[in-house]
Order: sequence, then structure tokens, then C-alpha cells
Amino acid sequence: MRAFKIFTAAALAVSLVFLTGCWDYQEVEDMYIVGGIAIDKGTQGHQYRVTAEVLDLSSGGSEKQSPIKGKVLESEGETVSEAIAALSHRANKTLYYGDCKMVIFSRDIAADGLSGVLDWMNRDPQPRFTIQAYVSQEQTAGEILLKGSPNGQPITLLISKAMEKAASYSGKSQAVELYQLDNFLWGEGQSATLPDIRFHRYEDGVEPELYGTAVFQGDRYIGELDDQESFYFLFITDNNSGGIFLTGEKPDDKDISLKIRKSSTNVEPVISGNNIRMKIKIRMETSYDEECSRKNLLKNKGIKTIEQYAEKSLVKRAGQTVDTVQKKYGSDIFGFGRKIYEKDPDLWKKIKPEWNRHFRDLKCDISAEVVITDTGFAFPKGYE
Amino acid sequence: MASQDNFKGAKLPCEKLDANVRYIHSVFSDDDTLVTRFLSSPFDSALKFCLIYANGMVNNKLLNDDVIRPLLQYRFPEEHDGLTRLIAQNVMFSDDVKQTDDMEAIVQGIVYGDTVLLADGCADSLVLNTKGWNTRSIEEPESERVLRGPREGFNESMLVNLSMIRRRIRTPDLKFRFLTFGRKTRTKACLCYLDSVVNKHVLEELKKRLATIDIDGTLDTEYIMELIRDKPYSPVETIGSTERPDVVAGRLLEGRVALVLDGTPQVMTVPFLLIEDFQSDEDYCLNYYFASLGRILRILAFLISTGLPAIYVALATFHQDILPAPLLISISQARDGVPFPTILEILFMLVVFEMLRETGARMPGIMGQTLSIVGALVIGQAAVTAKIVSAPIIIIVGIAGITGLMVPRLKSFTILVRFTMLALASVLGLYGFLYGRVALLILLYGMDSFGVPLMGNSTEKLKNTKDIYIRAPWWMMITRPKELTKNRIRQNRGSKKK
Repeated sequence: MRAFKIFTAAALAVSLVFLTGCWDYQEVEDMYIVGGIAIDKGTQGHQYRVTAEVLDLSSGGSEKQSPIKGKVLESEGETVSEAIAALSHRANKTLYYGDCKMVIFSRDIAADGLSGVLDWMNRDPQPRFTIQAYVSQEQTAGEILLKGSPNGQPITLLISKAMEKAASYSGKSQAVELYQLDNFLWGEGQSATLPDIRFHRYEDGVEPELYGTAVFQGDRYIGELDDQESFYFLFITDNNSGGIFLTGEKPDDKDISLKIRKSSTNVEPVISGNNIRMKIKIRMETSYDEECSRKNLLKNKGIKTIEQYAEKSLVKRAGQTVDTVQKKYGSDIFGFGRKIYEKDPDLWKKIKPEWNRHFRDLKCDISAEVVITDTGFAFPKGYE
Repeated sequence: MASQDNFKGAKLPCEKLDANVRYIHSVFSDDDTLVTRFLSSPFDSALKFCLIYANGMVNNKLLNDDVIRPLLQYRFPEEHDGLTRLIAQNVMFSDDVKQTDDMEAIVQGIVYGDTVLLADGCADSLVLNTKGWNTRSIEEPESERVLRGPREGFNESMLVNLSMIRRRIRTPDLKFRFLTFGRKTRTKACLCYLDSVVNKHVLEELKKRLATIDIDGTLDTEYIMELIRDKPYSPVETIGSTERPDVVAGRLLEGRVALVLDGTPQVMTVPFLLIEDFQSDEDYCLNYYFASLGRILRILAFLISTGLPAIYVALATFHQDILPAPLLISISQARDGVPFPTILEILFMLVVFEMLRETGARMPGIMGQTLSIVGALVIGQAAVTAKIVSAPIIIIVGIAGITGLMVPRLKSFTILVRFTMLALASVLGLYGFLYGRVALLILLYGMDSFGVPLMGNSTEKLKNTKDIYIRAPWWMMITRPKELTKNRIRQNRGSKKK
């Protein structure tokens, strides 16, 4: 009986190890942490070329911890997965994608359609759903990683750090993570957009910067929005979280800068029979940040007037952006279709096949409410 | 004859003084500390006496003043019925006089500091209490120091220890029952309990187990604890032990039984709940908020100390995806150039830590400086610089070591669990860690101490756990722990100020 008990316990313990245990023992220094990958068309007869930046953590034998350096690896394959495998082979270390921050697509890869390229990232357990996706505005995506780093620091870490703050600093770029991209591609009624990345050129080199937005139709890249258009695009999709808004409308030949503190946009389809209009309400709380004038516009015109200037120009420019997208691309990147789907799924089912055509002719009523919450200046006596 | 331990049933051989003395001498042959003093009364030289005692065990002044002086000054009457009886009743100043012819009592008396008085013509003797030897003074126990609260600690004398307990609980309800252990050592021991509070089943069980002990010597309560514990092979203690009389008093009041053993300051108490190891003596002398915080920290420290190295190994070698990227990077950087796998690194440092701890406990205090320099500089700093171990390992081992010392009474168990967890985690990753924790819980919840579950009522609702995870204010602890006693009312009502 006793022997039986011991045998049972031992058998259970052994099966614990073999049936449920995990065997992926892996020392951290035996692997490269991949910071980001770039996917291009293959050049040597292969379909894809994958460039990966890995973090080189070796200190070269010195006692002090040296700053982290980036190291770029390249390989090609018929599929992304094959190219990735070849990459590991080349690196002589396991490549670890758990902390991979970004994937950069070249324009020609994006133009061919993203679905095929994304499959590996969605399927493999290591890359996370929060990987940020970008489109390179340069010749290839790989060169961003190859040439981008200003002083040997890993470029992927710099870009992802810049991206974290970009939305609130300038309001012109918004990170799109893998799961969001998946939602665009396979969800209802909104075309995909990805932030663009390009080189800012100096006299003696280049540095990557976030500039503009890539527009997709289905999973194919069809064009770009520039910096300003991206700004208003983010406004309309309620993704703005900061930046500077210039009132325009020239109250006195000079622009007034308003710092955006909070903004929210409400998009609502107004459906009457076959006629659909989009009602877009933008509300923005700002602080009066700068006026380039000697005339003390704030005092002379009053807050109300300046708010009205701002509202007028916000409506105008947002309208222009919608117009451009409608005329030039005809791709519903604002997610108007999704709003209709949310409000009236039956109607959406009917118009979905024709949506691209509908979108081109869709009428938008844009209204804006701008509030200046503080003026940020203590007037000295006699200030006129 | 000389090697005999047991004199049960043996008597003094006859009425002749010389023969009796010779007999006792033969029992104590080759024992030069035995002093034999022949006397005869100055008033009647026919009255011959003999005093036998072990030198060093008796108080010589007591012997001279209270035994020899009255004996020589007493004018013995012509008529009396039994010389020894007369002496016991009329002559001796000694506080405790036993009249006996039992060799067992005589021999035990001599070896325990009593003086045996033989009289010519009597077949019995008087055993006189002249005990007197030096004991350590009452000090604060090193291992159970407190900042606030009583500072008395037990010493090696059982009677002194008993007096410390009695002084704290002054009621005839407090019972003291003497026992003797050890065929050779004849160590005295005393069972203490509060008759109205104690759990009778526990008391009977304890007496039953104590009766089975058959060993030549019991020099510390640990001998007895190991002989009577519930699960002999278990690494967890199932019997409590302390050096502080206030702790013993507190435990008696909750219905436990204490065993005080002569020759050691360690007093054992049963039944034992695991949480006693986390209850500092100071908890009851401090503000309850602070005491509760301390107790929670101690429980946390046990979990950290047993789990941290295992979790580190699991995360660093199996589940890197759980680590935040900056931490992963810094671990990876630190590991760069270290020749050993993580598990070896951490084992190496843990063993070194245990060695340092053991050295610190054993070495003369005067060499302490050396240890701290070697420990901190050579092993900590230099090992990292020389890339023998990585810096995070030092932090992990340091934290595990320090938190392990926060619960000193569980020290050995903590170390054992820590290494087991580590072994499991290094083979199975976090799964192993979880299996280890589950096994630990099964082990602990499956254990009893004298019929009381080791984990006590730790799984009950909060109302019944006022002294487990926290130390509730005294006015809340109206009842005694229910698994320890049937007589549960401690206070008739919580006498909190309204």
C-alpha cells in the first residue's frame, strides 16, 4: 500500500513535469531583443526583405554599463515568416519579439495590401497586439532603421518614445497599434490610416520624424495626408489630445495661438430616407497661448470675438480636409460608415456595397465650439 | 554497581552507620566530589552521624549553619522513638527534610545538591535541602528582544523559571506537575497549565506522549520536542518554544500547556499554531495599528523570502515577456559576460548568504568587522565587478535573506522552502513556482499539533481571525482562540471606553 502511494505520487510528479510544464528555458543574454522590424519588397528574387533592429546590450568587456546600441540585421524570404527565421539564423541568437515596438512598411508593400504581411504578426505568440505600425515615406522601410540612428542609439526606441508624446505635443500624429489596424481592416465602415515616417534632412545627416498620415483603401495604401490635414483628420476622428491651434481669419494680420487643452468631437449621422448627412460637432477647450501683436487684441476684441474667429476657421479647415479626402481618395478614413453602422445596422447593410460612392458625395455639417479657459498673462499697469 | 542508574526498590542495607556509608560510597565509587563528614554529638559520643553531599552542589553556609551547628549543639534526650525522626522534627533548621531509606531518593538527593544525613543505629536517612549553585542572572533573551515590553527571560534553573511564570499568573488554577526525563540526566521538568482553561484532550495526549520518552539525556527542550512531535519528518515545527515568561503566560492564558525543562531557558508550549511564529512578543505591547502592520509585514516577508529567488529565475529564464522592456534590458545588460546560468548564479549567492549568516552566528563577536567587510565588499561588490554574478542577483538574494530573518523562528523552514521553490522554478518556470506554493499549502493545512490544526482558524471569516493576520485591539478580543480551549470567555464584555 505504502509502495503504491509512493509510486502514485512519483507518477503524478513526473507527469506534472512532462504534461504541463514549460520547457522554454532561455537565458536572457542568449537572445536579442528586437526593437522593431521593417518590411520591404525583396531585392534578390525573394518576395520579402525584413530588416530588424535588435538591442545590442553587450558592454564589450568594460565594467561600466555602456549605453544601449542598436544593431541592424537583414534577410529575405518568400514569406515574412521565412525571412524572420532567416534573421534568427543570421543573428546566431534567438530573436525575441515580445518587446518589439514597431513595424514599418514600405510604400510598395503597403500598396500591395497589408493582410498577407500582417498575418505572421497576428499569428505568432511573441509579437504583441500593441506593436505600432508605420508607413515609410522614404524609398524603403529598411533604411529608416539602417540610417536613422543619430548616435548609435536604437532608433526604434527613439521613434516609439517620440510617438508617445507626439499626439499631445503636436496633435499631428497618432500611433496605430496592430489590433487597431486589424479593426480597420476587418471591422465595419472605417478605412485604415497609419502614421507616416520620413527623414528630416540636415546638412550632415538625417533623423527620422513623424510626418503625415498614410491613407488606405481596404488593405492597400493609396496616398498621403500632409501635416495640416493629419491634424484636422485627428480632430474629426476625436483623436486629438493637444497641440497648437492657430485662429487664422486674421483679426489683425497676425495669428493667435491657442493651446488645446481638451477637445472632443461628436459625429452623428442624420438619416432621412435615402439622404444621409453627417453632423460633426467639435468642442475645444484652449488656453490663450500667444498673440503676435502690439495691439493687445485680447483686450480690444474680447475673448468672445477671438473664440468666434477660431470657430470659423476650425469649421473651414476641417471641412477642407474632409473635402480633400472625399475628392482625392474616396476612402472613408473618418469612420462615417461605422457611425451609420452603429446607428442603423440595417441601413448600413444596404448601402455597404456602394459605400465608397456614397462617401464621395456625403454632405457634412461641421460646427465648432471653442472655449478659451484662461489667458495666461498678468497685465502690467498701463498695458494697452 | 557503579554503572547502575536505577535504584528503584533498593534500601539502605542495615542500621550500622559504617555499612551504610560504605554502601553509598560504593554507589558513588570514583566520584571525588562526594564529601563524607563524620560527626558525633559532644554531649553523647555514642551518637554518631554522617553527612554525605556532592561538593559544589550545596550551599556550604546553609550546610554549616542549618545542619551541622544545630546537630552539634543539640542535647539529645535519653528517650526517643527513632533518632532520625527526632532530628527531622526537632533539630534541623533546614526547610525541606525527607526521612527515607529508599536508595533512589538518597542518590537523587545527593546528585541534586541535597545532603544526606545518616545516623548510627538507624536504617533510614534524612535528605536535607541544601541545594545551592550559581545560575545565570535573569537577562533579556538575545533571540527575542523587544523595544517595548517586559525584558525578563528564562534562565537555566527550572525553579527560577517557574517562579517567573507564577509571578505573572497568581492563581491556584495554575497547575505545576513535575516530571523527570533522561535515564542518566534525570532532568527535572514541569508541566504548567491553567486547569480551567486548558484543553484536556491536549493535556492527556501530551502526557501520553511524554510517558513514551526513553532516552539517556534531555539537555534541551528540542530533545523532547523531536521525540513527541506529530509529523517526525516534517520540516515545520509543530511545537512552540520561547525564552520569554510573558509569552508563556500569554499562551497559558489561551489554554496551552507549557513544559519547563531544567537546564535550558527554552520552554516549549503545545498546541502550536503556525501563526505563533509570526506573532512577535512585542505585538501585544505595542499599539495595535503598528503591531498589525508589523505582523502583515512579517507574513509578507515570509512569502517574499521563500518566493522571490524562484520568481526571478522563472521570469528571467522562462517568461521574459512578463518583464517590462526596460527591466528586461537592464537584466540582460547585467547578465552580459556572466559565465554561469541564472540558476547557478542565484544558488551560489544564496549558499554564500547562508554561510555568511551561519558564520555571523557562530564566530566570536570581536571578528564581526571582518565579516561585514568580506560580506559586503568582497562578495557583493567584487563578485559583480568580476562578472561572476550579475547585480540583480545580489539584490534578489539580499532581499530574500533579509526578509527571511524577519521571521527568525521560521528561519530553517524558510530556507528549505526557498530552495525547493527555486529548484521547481528553475525546471518548470512559473508553473513550478505555483506547484510549489500549492504543495506548501497542502503540507501546512494537512498538519496537526496535538489534535489542533497547525494553520488554526486562518481560513475562517474575519470575525474569528482577530489575532491571525492582524492584532486586534484588546477590547475586541473577547474570546480565546476556539481551537485551543472550550472555556472561551476572556472578557465578559469588551471594556472599550464608550
